[in-house]
Amino acid sequence: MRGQISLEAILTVGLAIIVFTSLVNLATERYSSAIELGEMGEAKMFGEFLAEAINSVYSNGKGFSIVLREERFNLSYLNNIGVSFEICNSNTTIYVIKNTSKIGSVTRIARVPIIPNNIIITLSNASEVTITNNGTNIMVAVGGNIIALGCRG
Amino acid sequence: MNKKDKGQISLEFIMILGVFLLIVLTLYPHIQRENEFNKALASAKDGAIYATSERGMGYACETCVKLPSGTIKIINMTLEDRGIDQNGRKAYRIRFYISVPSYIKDRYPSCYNSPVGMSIRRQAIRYIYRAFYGSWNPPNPLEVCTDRYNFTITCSYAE
Repeated sequence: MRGQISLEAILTVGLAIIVFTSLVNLATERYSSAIELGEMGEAKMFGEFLAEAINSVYSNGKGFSIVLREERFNLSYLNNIGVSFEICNSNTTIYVIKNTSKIGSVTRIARVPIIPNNIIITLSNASEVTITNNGTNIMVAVGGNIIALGCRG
Repeated sequence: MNKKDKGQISLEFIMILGVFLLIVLTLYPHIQRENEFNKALASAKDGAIYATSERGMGYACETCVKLPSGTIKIINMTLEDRGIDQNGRKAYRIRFYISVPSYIKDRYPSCYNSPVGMSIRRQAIRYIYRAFYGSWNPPNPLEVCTDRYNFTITCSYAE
């Protein structure tokens, strides 16, 4: 009698598998949506950080500088979740651009208003973002192309 | 136990199983219809929740009207029977009652044509289509047909 399993157990397991697989599809879809929305929220939050830093540098005058370090503004993480930022001088707005491919859409854009309209982006090798007021312009030094000038949307 | 008795099941068990199978087979069309209906409603709700969440955070598609972020909530969801469509499917209109900030209500008096309403309609249709056909791109962004049902989406502002 060893190594045997009752018919009831087989039926129960079979039924459980059927119920479980029918639930998996719906749960997976909800999970992807939740992940996507969470990442969109994070992207917007990073956009607000950036706007806050730019506004502070602008209002504090010449020579003032803010460094957004990796623990505050993680460029590689943002890159991994498909986020980029476009700073538009003409309408004083930061566009937070999020690739939402997990739920089939291509791009979603949110706007964060800023005060200055004289921002210049420069490339740096560091994994942090440095924002400096040089008296004429607000210089944003960033490693990589995650922040660029542009007026999308 | 005798060797001949091994691997056998009782007559009672076979009878119970038989009755159970009979019930399942009799009810199967009804179960399938209800399953299709519930799956569509659950997907529509998921899509609408996604749309309100992204709009609440201030997100919109590239060509869509962008709105400032604000609290957008789904208050209620109702079903309106629209009879039978031209292909013999039962037609339903799913209506979402949403609460939006006053600046949206004032600017767009009709929820149906408001940017939030359009996002909700589009996402709900996409989610239903995805649940039944596995693709995010429905051929008609205004309605979606399953085997037995035809769904359209609309919305109203909650008072």
